[in-house]
Amino acid sequence: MRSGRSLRAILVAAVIVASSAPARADEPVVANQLYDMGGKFEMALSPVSMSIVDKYTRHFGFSLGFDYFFNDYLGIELDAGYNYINGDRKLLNEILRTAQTLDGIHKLPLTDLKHMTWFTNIGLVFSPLYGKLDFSSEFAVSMHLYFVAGAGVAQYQYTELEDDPGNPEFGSFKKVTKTYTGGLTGAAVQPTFHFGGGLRFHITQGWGIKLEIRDVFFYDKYEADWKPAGIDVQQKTIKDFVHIVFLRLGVCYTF
Amino acid sequence: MKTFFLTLVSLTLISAGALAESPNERVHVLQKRDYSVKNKIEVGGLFAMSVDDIFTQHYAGVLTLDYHIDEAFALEFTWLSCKIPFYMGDKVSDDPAAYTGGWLRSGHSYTDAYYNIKDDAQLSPSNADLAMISNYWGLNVEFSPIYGKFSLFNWGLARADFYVTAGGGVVTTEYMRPDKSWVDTGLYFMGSFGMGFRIFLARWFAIRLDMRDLTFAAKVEGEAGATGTTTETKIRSTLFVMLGVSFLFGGEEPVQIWSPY
Amino acid sequence: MRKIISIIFALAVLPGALAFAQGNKSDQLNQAVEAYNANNLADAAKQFYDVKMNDPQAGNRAQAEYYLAQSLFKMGMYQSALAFYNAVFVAGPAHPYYIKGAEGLVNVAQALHDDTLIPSQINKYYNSQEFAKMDPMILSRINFYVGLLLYRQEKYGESMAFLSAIDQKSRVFAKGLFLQAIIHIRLGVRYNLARDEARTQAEYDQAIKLFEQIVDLSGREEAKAMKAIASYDNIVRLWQLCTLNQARAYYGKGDYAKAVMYYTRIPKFSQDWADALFEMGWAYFMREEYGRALGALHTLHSPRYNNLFAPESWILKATIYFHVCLYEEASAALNFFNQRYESMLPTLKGILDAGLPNEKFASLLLLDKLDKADPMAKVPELVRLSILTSPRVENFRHFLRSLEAEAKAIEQVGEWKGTRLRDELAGVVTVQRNLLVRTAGGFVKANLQNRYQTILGFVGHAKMVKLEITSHERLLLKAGLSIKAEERGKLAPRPNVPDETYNYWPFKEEYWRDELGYYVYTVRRACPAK
Repeated sequence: MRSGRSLRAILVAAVIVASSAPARADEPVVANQLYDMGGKFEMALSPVSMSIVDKYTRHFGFSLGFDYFFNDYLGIELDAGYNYINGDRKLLNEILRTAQTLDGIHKLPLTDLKHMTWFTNIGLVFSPLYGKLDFSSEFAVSMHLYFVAGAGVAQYQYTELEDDPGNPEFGSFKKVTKTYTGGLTGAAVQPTFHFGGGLRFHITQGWGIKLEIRDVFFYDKYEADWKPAGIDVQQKTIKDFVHIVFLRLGVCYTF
Repeated sequence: MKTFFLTLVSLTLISAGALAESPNERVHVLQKRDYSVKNKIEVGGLFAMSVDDIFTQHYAGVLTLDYHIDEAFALEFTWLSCKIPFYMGDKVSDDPAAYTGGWLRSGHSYTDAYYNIKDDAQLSPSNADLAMISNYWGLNVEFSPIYGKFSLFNWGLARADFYVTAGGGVVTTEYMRPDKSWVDTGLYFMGSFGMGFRIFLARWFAIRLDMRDLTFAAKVEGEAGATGTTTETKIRSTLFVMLGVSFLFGGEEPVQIWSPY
Repeated sequence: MRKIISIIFALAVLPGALAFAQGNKSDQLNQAVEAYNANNLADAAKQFYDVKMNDPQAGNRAQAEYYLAQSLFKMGMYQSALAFYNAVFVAGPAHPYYIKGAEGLVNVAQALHDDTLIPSQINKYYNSQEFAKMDPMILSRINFYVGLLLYRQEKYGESMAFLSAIDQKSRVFAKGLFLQAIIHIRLGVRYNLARDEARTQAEYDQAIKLFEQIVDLSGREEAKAMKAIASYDNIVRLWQLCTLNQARAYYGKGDYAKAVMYYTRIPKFSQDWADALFEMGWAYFMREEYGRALGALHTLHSPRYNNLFAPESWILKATIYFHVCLYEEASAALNFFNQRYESMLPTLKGILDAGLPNEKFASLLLLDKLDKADPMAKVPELVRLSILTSPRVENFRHFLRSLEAEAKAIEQVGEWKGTRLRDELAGVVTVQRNLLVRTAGGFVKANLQNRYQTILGFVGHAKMVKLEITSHERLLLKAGLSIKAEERGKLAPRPNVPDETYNYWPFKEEYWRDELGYYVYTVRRACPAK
């Protein structure tokens, strides 16, 4: 093998005529991106899908998603799920329990009483940001930040009050769950819209973990009961957009 | 849930193996952080709003003062203010406990849900649900185990660090009566925990986004409730989202070798 | 009688006629000078040309010749001006405008970015006695050109003499110092090969001193540096080259730690960064810091440098792996070298052995897009790009663009239509263009030859390394040890992470732009204990 001395000589001689590398003006930040979603499908299962920043309702369920990505930045998703726990929060029960003026009221004149059962939707996925996180300088994880928006359908239910003298919890009435028919269609299935965003952590080439916040909303319109003067029950049209914000945690597989 | 997390950890370990290089070499990047915070003092100004209270809405200005002990740990003093502190407004002449003052408390309001439940449904939430945070002073410990970098459309490059924070302090609370006068409902200990990240735009400047859950005991005494004059107590938890900027001072100056080009 | 009277009459009239004729030519020179002073340069040139060609008085012809050159220079017709400046210069000191002619040549060389043809002409007719009368700044530039020429001819002693004579206030002073330093480096290499350690060190020390002197021109602070930038040609580029060459000088002296220190000062993504990375790889190898050496090469082999011609980097990589007895990895590096570089040899040989004239090679340099039928279209992309990054390429291209523009301009001058001047100038430009194409072609051919020889040389090295690998593997088997490195030795300890302000994160085949230059390897030391 060559000695150090001649190595030195050859090096110095060689570099006198060394060529420089061509400069490249607009090169990418990441070359050989390890987790490029372009042209890939993704299946996602979120066994943890729960509502957050709740008002009167709460949800817990799961969702399944199927996405296709045209390139690393844009994709399309098909999503469906079911909230097997859906209903009123304790806060609403508390308010109803202490109420003095509910005689004759069957449909509460409150917004945001609707809780979602099943849903399905289609939308766009937009991922402008790709990054990596370093955990205590030891372990690095690549991730995509993405945003979603789209539309779909869902079924909602809500609580009505029925007379029940001597009810142990509420005194003179009981709560019954009804399927909601109102809104834009007047049918049991309501059109919904959603937007949100999340993080996809890439664990392996195929597998990943998704953490997402998604606001699903629909247009609520129904006839409620109210007592404007405190005595006679009258009808009041309640119109509002009902938002349910979901936090989802799940796994995804890209292929 | 336990099975799920064990699976997650296993997948992570498998992934480390799956992506391992040759058994004879490992390649790493050994790179000084472009945006180090060690020994720096950080002064932050943020705007905060509550997002999960049903009946009350808080808007606050937040001042933070952090000292970064090292890259991972920092001590933070926080002052969150929805109302100018120590100034109670004008006393209501026939009720010594009450006072008025509109412009001082532009960070306090009730939500549409409150008016909906009160006016349309003639129902009442608990008074404790209506007590509002006026000022909070607290100390937090911040732990930043994660440093990240991101590319936007594979063109721009940004760095950020992510942290969790926990601590506590004292909070002053107030309650608005139906006649729109206010009463001071007391000083309490408040726990604070949350998480956030700061995106560095320069060595001395960052944008911060925080989420803090502030938990306190809300107590409203001697006010008209659903069943007469009551004392209502509740443990309240209010989630604030904060967005702002911070300025970093001090710390280690990057070593500069003078170069004529 | 009538005949005699006619003869007497003719004799009487003739002197007057002659005197009349002489007065007219001097008048034409004066008219030409007036036109020149009034900036009617095309007209002035035409008249100066007429005087030069027809005036019986040598003094007038000499003056016209010089001012013809001046007129053409002012019109931006540098090649045409060159022809006449050259005629003035070549006529020697007897020409009244000899010094001015030499100065004119220097101005044309600057305008055309020519550091080859004109300097060689000046060198051919260099007259130190007469040149001493020249403006010192112009003389300094001549001395630099001649010094550069002699340096290329490897006549270092003579070159140094010219370079040392450059005036300190001249704009080429810094360039002259730099070239002197490079000569000392070359001499250091020579003495090193001759195993004369003392002289090797002396030459490198002298080079380092000169590099420091160039950097000192900046005053080591911004205000003085700005002044230096205004005073000296290309000094910013020179400062960066000084850093790079100081690193090389320290490497030559065997002070690898200092060499690395200077290599790391080369700014990331700058023109010299690839060279710095490669040489830093060598410096770390010499210090037996194999992890850092491989790390430097890792950046060089990233997608950013996909088009970099760097065959030796793969030989170095294989050598490093060989030194730590990772024979599989060494073989993989050699295989890559073979696929990427050795496979080019038949194509290059085909082109070089095709007996093409120099002109055929010029298209590689002078054209942005090559026709499929062009023989230069067969040149491998890596080789082509490596030739095109040479700064001399831009000089050639500039020269050619200048000639083409001049040819067009000559056609368009209305005052010259149908004149001998136009024909002569067009001819000069055509001849020069052909010469340039031949010279450029020669440059390309020489470079192709150089690339071919370089690859061939490294093919030989690769074979040597491969042979050593095979013999060492045989020895391992004989000793009853496994060929698989993971069954021998252990991974080196991880590199020292100075403090928590450093990120130390794994590389996973993804190249982030900001991480380039910071890779570190942890390699297994798989050599059996002796």
